[in-house]
Amino acid sequence: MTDDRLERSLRALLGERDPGPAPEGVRRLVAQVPNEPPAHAQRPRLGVLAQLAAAVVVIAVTGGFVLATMSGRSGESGESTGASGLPLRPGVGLASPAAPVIPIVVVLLAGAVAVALIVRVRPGPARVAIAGIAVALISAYVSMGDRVAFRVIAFGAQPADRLLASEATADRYLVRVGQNEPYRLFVTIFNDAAETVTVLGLDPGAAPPGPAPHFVGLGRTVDSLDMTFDAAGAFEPVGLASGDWLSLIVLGNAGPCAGSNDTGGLFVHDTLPLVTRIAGWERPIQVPLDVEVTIPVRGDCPEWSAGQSRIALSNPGK
Amino acid sequence: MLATRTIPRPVTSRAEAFSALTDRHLDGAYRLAAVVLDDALEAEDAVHDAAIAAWRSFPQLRDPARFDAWFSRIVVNQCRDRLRARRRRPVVALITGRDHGQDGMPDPSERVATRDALGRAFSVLDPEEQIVVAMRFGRDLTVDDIAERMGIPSGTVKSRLHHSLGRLRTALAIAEGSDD
Repeated sequence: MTDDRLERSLRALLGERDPGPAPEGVRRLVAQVPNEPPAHAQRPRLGVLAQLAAAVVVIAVTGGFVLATMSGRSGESGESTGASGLPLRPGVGLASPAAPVIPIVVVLLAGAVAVALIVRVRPGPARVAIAGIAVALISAYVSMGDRVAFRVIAFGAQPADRLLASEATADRYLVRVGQNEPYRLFVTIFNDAAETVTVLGLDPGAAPPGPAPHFVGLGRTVDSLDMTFDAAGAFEPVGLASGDWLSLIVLGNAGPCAGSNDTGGLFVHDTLPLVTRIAGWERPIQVPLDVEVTIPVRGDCPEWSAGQSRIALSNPGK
Repeated sequence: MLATRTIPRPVTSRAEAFSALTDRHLDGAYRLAAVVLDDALEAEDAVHDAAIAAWRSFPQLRDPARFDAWFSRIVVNQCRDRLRARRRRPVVALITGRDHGQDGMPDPSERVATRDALGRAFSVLDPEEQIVVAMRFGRDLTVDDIAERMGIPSGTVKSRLHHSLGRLRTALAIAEGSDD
């Protein structure tokens, strides 16, 4: 079929469809449109994206209010033992993550609103886009706090000898302590995240099994600019805004196997286990120390059992 | 003796302006909807719904001179929705077999067969393609006018026309049992 014939056929086909001028009935109906009740004819309608944005704002404001209210009450989360006025000693400053009841409620609420909006939109690219945005927003909220927000900007250990870094190794602190003796780490953490992160305390669940050296208490400096062990005070949960920092004093116990002998090795701390809260989510995190804190341990210690060896079998003196 | 005459009251209110503009462009909008939808009653509904949507958005129209294109776009959107809904519940059109005389077709029975095949091929085009073809060959709008009423670039209109005509030509060739 030629183009001309196809066009002629199309014009004939479509010409049959042309009914001519609009009937009087539809003309009257259209003329009545401006007179219809405002609720029907003049009600301003938000776009779907605006509705989604409004719903997210409402949920964020409501959730933020609830979470802010919760954040204002220190010590209520999990089993935080950070009580004001207590000195740095074993058992102080420990925290366990609380069950995420409020965040889950917020997620369910946001999901319900998103589904309600998606159902209202007819199938097509707009619905896919809205579903994608909703999933992205909810996923972003659910994953908040998954990544470690902190980096260490100042560090010290006591009692310890500091071995400076080479090209291949990080700074190493050799903590020389005997059986069950205490040691302390001074750690200043810096909030690299865009949001405020609350430090709830030390995570006791991250302690290595068996007789290995482990952290037993947490304190903080009263003045964050005073980066000395002597500034240690009681720990309380504290919120760190983006770009803010906090100096912590970590109390460790060397355990029954500490000490050096010919068959021993080194126990290494290279992370600091903390419990944090971001936007309602309470999670355990491991803050990289960027240094190695090594504690000599005896290899013939009877408390060791198979599989408990984060011990580097190296000579502590090197 | 004083001579009096009636001075037309200027159109000042928003409702009056809207009524005047819709009245002026209603025929074109209705015929466009009818050609696209192939259903005069549904075209009436589409135009009415379009008028309601237009009235809601009327305060956002800055240039009354653009009312025709703006209102046409709303009508086209209404038609697009209806065509999509129709595709979810297929309707088989009845062939009337009316004879339209001098259109260059070989004989009446072949004309009816061709129109039948063309109508079926047209109905399976995508709604966007149906609208473009209906505006071009049913309302004789230019490519630029179609682009303005659909809110898409002229190049997109041309490509849709090209693609649509190719599909129609293929469908007709198959129906006629030839490859031309």
